[in-house]
Amino acid sequence: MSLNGIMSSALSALQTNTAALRVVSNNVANVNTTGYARRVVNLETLSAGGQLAGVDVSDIQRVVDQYLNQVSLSASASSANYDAQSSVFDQINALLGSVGDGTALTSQLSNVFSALGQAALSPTASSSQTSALNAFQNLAASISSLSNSLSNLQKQTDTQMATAVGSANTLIKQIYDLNAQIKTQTVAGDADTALADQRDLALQNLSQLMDVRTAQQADGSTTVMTEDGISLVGDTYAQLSYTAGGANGTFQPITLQSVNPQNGQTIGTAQALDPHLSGGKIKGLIDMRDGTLADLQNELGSFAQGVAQSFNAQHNANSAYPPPTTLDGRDTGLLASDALNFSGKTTIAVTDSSGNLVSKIAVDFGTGTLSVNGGSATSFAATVGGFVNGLNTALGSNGTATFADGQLSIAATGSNGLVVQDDATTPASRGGAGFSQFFGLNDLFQTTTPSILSTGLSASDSSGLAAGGKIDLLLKDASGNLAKQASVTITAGMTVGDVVSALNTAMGGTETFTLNSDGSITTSPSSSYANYQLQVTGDTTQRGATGMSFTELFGIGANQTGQLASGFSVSSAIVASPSRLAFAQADFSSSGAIVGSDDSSGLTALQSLETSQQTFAKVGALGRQVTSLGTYAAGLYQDVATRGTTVSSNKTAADDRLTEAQTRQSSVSGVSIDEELSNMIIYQQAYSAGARMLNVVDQLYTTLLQIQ
Amino acid sequence: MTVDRVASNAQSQYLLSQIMKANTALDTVTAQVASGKVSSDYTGIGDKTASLEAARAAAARADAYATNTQLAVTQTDLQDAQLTTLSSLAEQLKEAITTAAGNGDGTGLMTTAQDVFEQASSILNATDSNGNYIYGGGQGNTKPFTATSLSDLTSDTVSNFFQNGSQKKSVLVGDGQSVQIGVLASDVGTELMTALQNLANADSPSGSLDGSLTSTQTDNLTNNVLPSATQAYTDLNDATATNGETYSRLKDDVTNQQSLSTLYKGFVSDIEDVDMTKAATNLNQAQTALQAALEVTAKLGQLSLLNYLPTTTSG
Repeated sequence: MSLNGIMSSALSALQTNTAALRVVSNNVANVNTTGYARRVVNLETLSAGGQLAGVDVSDIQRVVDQYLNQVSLSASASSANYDAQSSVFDQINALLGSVGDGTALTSQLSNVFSALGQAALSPTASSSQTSALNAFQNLAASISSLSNSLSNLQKQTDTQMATAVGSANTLIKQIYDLNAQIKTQTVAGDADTALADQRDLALQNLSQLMDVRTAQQADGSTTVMTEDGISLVGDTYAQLSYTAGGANGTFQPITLQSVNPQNGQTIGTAQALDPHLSGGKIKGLIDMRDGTLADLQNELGSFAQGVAQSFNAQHNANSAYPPPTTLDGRDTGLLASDALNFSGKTTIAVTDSSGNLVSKIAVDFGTGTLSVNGGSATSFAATVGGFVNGLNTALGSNGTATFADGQLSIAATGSNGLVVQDDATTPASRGGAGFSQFFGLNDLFQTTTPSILSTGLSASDSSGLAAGGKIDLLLKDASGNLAKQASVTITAGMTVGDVVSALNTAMGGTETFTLNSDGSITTSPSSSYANYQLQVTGDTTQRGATGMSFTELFGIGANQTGQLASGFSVSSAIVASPSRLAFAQADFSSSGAIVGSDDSSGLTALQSLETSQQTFAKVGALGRQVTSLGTYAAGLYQDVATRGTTVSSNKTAADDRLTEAQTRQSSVSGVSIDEELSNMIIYQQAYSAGARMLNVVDQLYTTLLQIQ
Repeated sequence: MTVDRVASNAQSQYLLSQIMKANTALDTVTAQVASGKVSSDYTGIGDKTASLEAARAAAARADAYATNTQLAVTQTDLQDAQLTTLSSLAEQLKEAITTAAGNGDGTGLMTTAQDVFEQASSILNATDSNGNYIYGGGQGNTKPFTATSLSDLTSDTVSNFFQNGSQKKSVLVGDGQSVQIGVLASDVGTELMTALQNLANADSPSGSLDGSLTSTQTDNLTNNVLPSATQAYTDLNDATATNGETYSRLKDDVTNQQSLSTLYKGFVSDIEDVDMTKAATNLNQAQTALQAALEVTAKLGQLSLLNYLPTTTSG
């Protein structure tokens, strides 16, 4: 043994402990750095020819637990999912206003009936009519503004999602690039590279956007895939693509495609990512966009439909005082050449401005005849146009009847007014709607797409659609799985029945279209696709010049119901002149005026809608039900509350799980100041001891040199 | 036994999150105490939302019924005054005829008749604040009674002078409960006008019923005119009584709807209003929890090995 040997061992102690102190220093410095995993120093003996020759750092280890990391990633995805949903819910709650502030649909509906009640004793007083009109307008405005806000929120959610997809792409590429660098450094023997911290951080960020699974490879790289195994980062990396903004409330899926890192070209075919997502912000936003927000819009649409149908049916049965001089109908989507398909009887009367009878036209659709003032019956052609011509002739000098672009208009001459009333025992009916109701001659509420979906069309009727029009359909479930994507192109001369058959053929049995006897179309998915929804992604068909497409006319597609709420308003004719509010009912047996100025029997009938039962189809989370309008609206709020409560309790659970996972992860990987300080003392003392050894060797040399 | 390491940053993050949780809880309870409501949004009401909104709508409905019925009460009250007047006019007429027939002296009889006619026709043609004829039966802008003088009556049958409609006004006083409050001019005026017509016919030629009467005249008054006047009086008394019954029924309905409204508002309050005792206790607890979280954080912040190490090794 030589003194030099002692000195060299002591020196190795100084060097090793300096290195160890450097690690401690890095750990302390990174105590608050996100994604930093602490490093520990592993020491080994230094040997020279089998002899001990001091100490050395064998390696500096990055302390991570792959299992805990994975748990943390998955908890983070789940938490981000509910976080995104919860923030959308905050906005929904803000839209709905606070509980009991009087802006709820239920309150607006109560206000309508309250205003009607107050008008009962003086139905023609302008104060009564104005306050009733205000209540109707407030209800309509609440419905349409809520619907538009929900639709905006849906678009906003979609934009957020597109941004999130962009961020995910950046992170995936970043992880791939870091993998490549880490591989190089691992080969060079550097296992504790700081790049691993950056990669962990990128993974953590990616997991907030979409749920991912990772696998550590021997070469230091990490492969990343979705929870169900679609590769995101491996030998190649994937890129997602998404175009924000849907049509008709239908949104395209996010697609995923692998990219060749060498030349940046895409490899293979793109596949839909949506069904493979089960967590993360993107999933949360998709669920809100296609689930909650779409459902709420449809539920609101269904409520709007109930309000429009029930109020319009009664309002058309009533008459205003003085009777209005013109009656302009809605766009029925019908053509003049369409079969009339009406049954029963109706009376169309012209009165003077005080409601006294001028002329009375009794129409019998059963026999296809009409008679003026009890005169002999004249027959008319059994088409819409034929009937309108007959009516126009019968009105003579008292008025005119025209039919254009699907709209029936009747006008009385001069200051005369018009009264239309279906027969009490055999009322006129097309698809279940009365004459005035079907044509919307005296509608209280108007919608941008038809609220009456029983078109009265039969299979043999001409479809009236120009050749070349195209209907694009998509059968999709809530997770974004596609069952079928199909298009139907209209050919010349197709009947309604032909179009229905073409739709059935195109969907290949996944969805069945049935034309009912009332002219409505029911769509139902086959049993293997029970939870799938039919969406109309495009429709360029048009019935004649009516501007009405085939799917609009029949209300086909999961988003059509929602459309009813968005353009919901009080009929513009009534807004312009509130005296058109029909609060009276014509009485043809009266010897005096057939419409009384102080008659409130029509108003009483409108009032009874408060408690009368309406049928609502299954929409969103609300099942098919027969209930009052108010109860249905309350159910809608209940649905929001239930969904909100579920999301908020899921969020709490996911947040707790994330906190727990992160605590466990950091109890392994996180820096503990106390621990580092005690390590510091250990290395510092070891350094001091090594230095003392050098001092001793120095003294030994001095002693040696003093020997003379 | 293993002891888990505690990472410094994770620990402070955890403590911070606990403070935030305590803060949020305190915030919720403070809002509850301040507003007196369980929650300002529907999510906070949860599965009771449908019941809450249904109860609120029911309360609003009951309130509306009460308000509208109250309007009808006012209307029947007005009708009561006018029907009572009509009834007393009929009585006046009956008395005058009885007196004239009994005394054989028709002095002032026709003046009284003219007076009764004018007052009665003005009541039959009374209008409401909107200018609609009260007894018009749906035809609010058509004069219900068209004869303008007593002599008019002799020119046609009585029913032809009544132009009112047949629809009696009604109000909804509760779900599906409709009460007819309207009174038609023809229902209350026909008998009285028939009596006046009979009297006017008896006064032929005009002025012959003045002064002392012949036995033929008194017999005619007693046998033909008086019974119709008596009938008018009886009918009008009945009409007044019916209207009075409607009035008291409406009054009862108002009270019923008001108590229903109170009941429903109680339901609403049960759901959306906070139980103050409970909220105050919760507030106390939330404050304590926050204080505890803050104190633990402060205490743990002081605990560090750093405090026990010398600042320099030489020192």
